[in-house]
Amino acid sequence: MTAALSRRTSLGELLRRAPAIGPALALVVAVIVFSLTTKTFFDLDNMSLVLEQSLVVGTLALGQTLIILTAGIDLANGSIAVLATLLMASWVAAGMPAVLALLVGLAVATALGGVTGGLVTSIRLPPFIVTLGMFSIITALSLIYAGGQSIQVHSGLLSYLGTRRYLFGGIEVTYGMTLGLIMVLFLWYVLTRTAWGKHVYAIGSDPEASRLSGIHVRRTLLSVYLIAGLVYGIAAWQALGRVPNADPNAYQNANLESITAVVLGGTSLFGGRGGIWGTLLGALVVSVLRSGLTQAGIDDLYQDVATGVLVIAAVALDRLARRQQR
Amino acid sequence: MENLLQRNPNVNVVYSMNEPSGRGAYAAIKSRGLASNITMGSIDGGCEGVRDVAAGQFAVTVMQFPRKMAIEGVDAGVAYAATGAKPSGFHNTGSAVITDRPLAGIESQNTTWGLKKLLGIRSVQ
Repeated sequence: MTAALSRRTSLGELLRRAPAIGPALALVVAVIVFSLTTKTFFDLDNMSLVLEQSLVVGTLALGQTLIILTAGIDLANGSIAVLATLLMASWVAAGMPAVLALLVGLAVATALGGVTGGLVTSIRLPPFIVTLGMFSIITALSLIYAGGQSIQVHSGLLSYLGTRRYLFGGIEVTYGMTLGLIMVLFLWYVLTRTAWGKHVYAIGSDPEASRLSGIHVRRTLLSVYLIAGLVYGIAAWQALGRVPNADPNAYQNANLESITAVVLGGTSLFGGRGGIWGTLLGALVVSVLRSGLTQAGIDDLYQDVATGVLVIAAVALDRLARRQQR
Repeated sequence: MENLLQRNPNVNVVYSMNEPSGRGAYAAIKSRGLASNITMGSIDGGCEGVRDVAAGQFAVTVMQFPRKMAIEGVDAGVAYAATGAKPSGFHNTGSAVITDRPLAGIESQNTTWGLKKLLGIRSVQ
């Protein structure tokens, strides 16, 4: 084997073992570039802002990661979160105790994840089709429920994650960021250190082989969709912390943005490879690009161009890693 | 809005093309503690928007009259079907400046008037 070939193999090997290296590099490069080219980017308040801005889509992307690891996809996640914000906000406005509204809202989001999971596992419909349908249905139900209007939130508990903050080493930290980090650590732990996590990866790599080795494929898949639903409910709580206003027209592209974060994070759309830390980095890359390009005075539309180029590059790297695996 | 304020916090007026984006902008301004320095104006005259003017979040919004637009549109369709006459030219269905802080020389209505004019599935709560 020539030296050149073995070096290429080791690059593929590296990408396979640590798919989060790509987004980590992209993040470091972006932060350095924007710190050098703008006066306002490198500033503790702005770092805090960038973290806050990545919270809602980032949280949605955590649930999306679980589903994509099983070789599925979820187009309905943003719509589930929006419906949950409307339910929680309207119940509190109608006099329900905020704790109850929050818990029932989380339960509804979990149940909607379960409906998707049930359709995927029992009728064996492709997740793309099921969630495309769910997206359409839930978006319409939200508009009908809210009568096309937004609902202001005056509850301290519902906006708690964004309004309460403390200082951590000079950076303003909201409770939403803290919760986000706890979720990342928890999901990382269960994905990498528990049998359930191994099963999720196995199902994404090869469902038939997983079944033959005794994994309850359907039960595990259903649990993935249920947990993802709960995560979307928490994203709804994060959203009310960001803007204390439940709007049926909000987060219309959050489903695609969450997929963008997952893909940038090095998780393979073909399932079985990737992880939670990559998704965190992917969400941060998008947030840093938006913040940095705005402060550099560049048109919004070019921000979308930049994100699109990165997505294609990330999937191309994934392909490269896969091809060298064979 | 957050990123724009990070680039330059010395803003005194924010105008939004519709009220939902104005509410997002207001949330960003408020969390940066600039609500008292910035005057906000918007366009729509929706239920929430007029209430936001009444509550002081927006200084002003401009109300349009979609019901009137619909009525004139249907009338034009009926006239075309009956006589073949096509509508032509510019049809002004009107607009009204809604504010509780009127300025001399600018015709405006207060929010009490605005709340009465609201069209919506759920009326004023």
